[in-house]
Amino acid sequence: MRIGCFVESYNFKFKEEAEALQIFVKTAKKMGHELELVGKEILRKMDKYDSIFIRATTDPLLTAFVVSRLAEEMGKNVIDDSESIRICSDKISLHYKFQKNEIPTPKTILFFGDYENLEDYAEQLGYPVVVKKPNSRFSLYVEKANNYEELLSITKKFMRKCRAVLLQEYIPTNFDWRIGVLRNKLLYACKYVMAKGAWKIHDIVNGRRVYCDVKAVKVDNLSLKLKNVALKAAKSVGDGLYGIDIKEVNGKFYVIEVNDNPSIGHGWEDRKNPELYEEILIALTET
Amino acid sequence: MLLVGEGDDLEPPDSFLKKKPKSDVLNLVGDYRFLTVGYFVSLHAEENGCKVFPQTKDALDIYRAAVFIERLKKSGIKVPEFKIIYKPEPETCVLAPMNPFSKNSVKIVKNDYQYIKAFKKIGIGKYPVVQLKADKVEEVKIFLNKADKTEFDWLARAIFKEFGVPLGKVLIADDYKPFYFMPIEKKEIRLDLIFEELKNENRLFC
Repeated sequence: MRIGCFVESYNFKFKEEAEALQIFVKTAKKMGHELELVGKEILRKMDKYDSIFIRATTDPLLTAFVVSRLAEEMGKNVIDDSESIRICSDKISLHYKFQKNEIPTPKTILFFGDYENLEDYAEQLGYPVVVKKPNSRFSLYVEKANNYEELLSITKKFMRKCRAVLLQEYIPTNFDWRIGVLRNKLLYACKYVMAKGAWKIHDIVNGRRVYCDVKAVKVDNLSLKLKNVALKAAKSVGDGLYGIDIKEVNGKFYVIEVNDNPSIGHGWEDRKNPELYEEILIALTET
Repeated sequence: MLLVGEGDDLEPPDSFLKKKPKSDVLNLVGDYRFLTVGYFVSLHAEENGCKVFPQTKDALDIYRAAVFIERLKKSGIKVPEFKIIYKPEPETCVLAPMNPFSKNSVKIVKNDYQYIKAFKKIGIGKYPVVQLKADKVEEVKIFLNKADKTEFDWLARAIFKEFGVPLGKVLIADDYKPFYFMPIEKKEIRLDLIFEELKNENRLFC
């Protein structure tokens, strides 16, 4: 089968990600398939491919979404599917899914600009309050308010360009679990360990951008409770390829978010479960 | 059927978003683009288990020119030939954004200079652009099954049937071929036409 893999130049920023893409190409070949890395020109030659794999930032406002939708309209097997992109790119939508499916999360309140209730919401959550824009990603548009003045200032800033934000209880941890799930099966696991002084995966500490450290853990070694929480969270969105971010506190697990199009870097996410490439390719080529 | 929007006899979006709706919802906000109030109204209805017009999926599709054209074509509507351009291919043509960054940024270009300028602006220097040939472009406003120009009522019906989107503006290339959908301004919404159409509610939403 021929697989078109939509990539953008920033996919090659970290050598680990570029290497992972090359492993996809080689693994596909070994399996008797052809995986071609293609840029925006994929929109003009979608016909050539049997299935489409997206490895570029997915958001309904970006090219990747149209790639996914057009491929679906043509009846192709697509990872990521457009509905997963929509849900995961909108944290409000994701919150509704978590609520409906009873996924354990930090206490969360949707804020639609009713400032008369803001102080009350903060009281319910306790300071610091985490404020997230619906389209937050890679720790962008996620800020922490330590008091009401900060909360007011952050919400006003975020709501200049959107009509809703998420207010969330702050749960400090040294790391977030990142669990990879595909077609409702566990694929890989790692700990995203916060950099010193950071409170989120990508942060700015003393004016310098810092990134988390990735420590892979074999899926088989995860606790049953963690596995179940991750699978349940993934299922609340769909049956695509997801990276589930989970906090662990005293043996309890809290889902922070489900990410479609999770990063896959060679030596990072694949370290303990290198079969993930083959698993993804099987999903892309199954009929 | 609960009508949500701005105006007399409509439930304002802000109060709707704080309630747990139980009935079917007709979202008359007029702009349903991703993360706008109109989008959140549809999302809130959907996530509370209500039947809603439009659904979020359709609200996303309709503003993406390539998807809009493909879906109309599948439903049997004549549409113009188009190509998706990621590098300039200058010619006399119409250029439209592939994703709805602005409410209306479609350009008719007649020479290379206009083309390059429009290509950069519409694609914001990095996104693909939809390109099609047309001598003239006409705008039609739709209100459920009615259009502001009666000869286009068929198009309003087709769009509501295919996408469930009750309000918007459609750009049409020569020979009655729709190719682009845009949000409608609040002041352009004809509630009289909507209420007239709602007299046929059973036929409309079956």
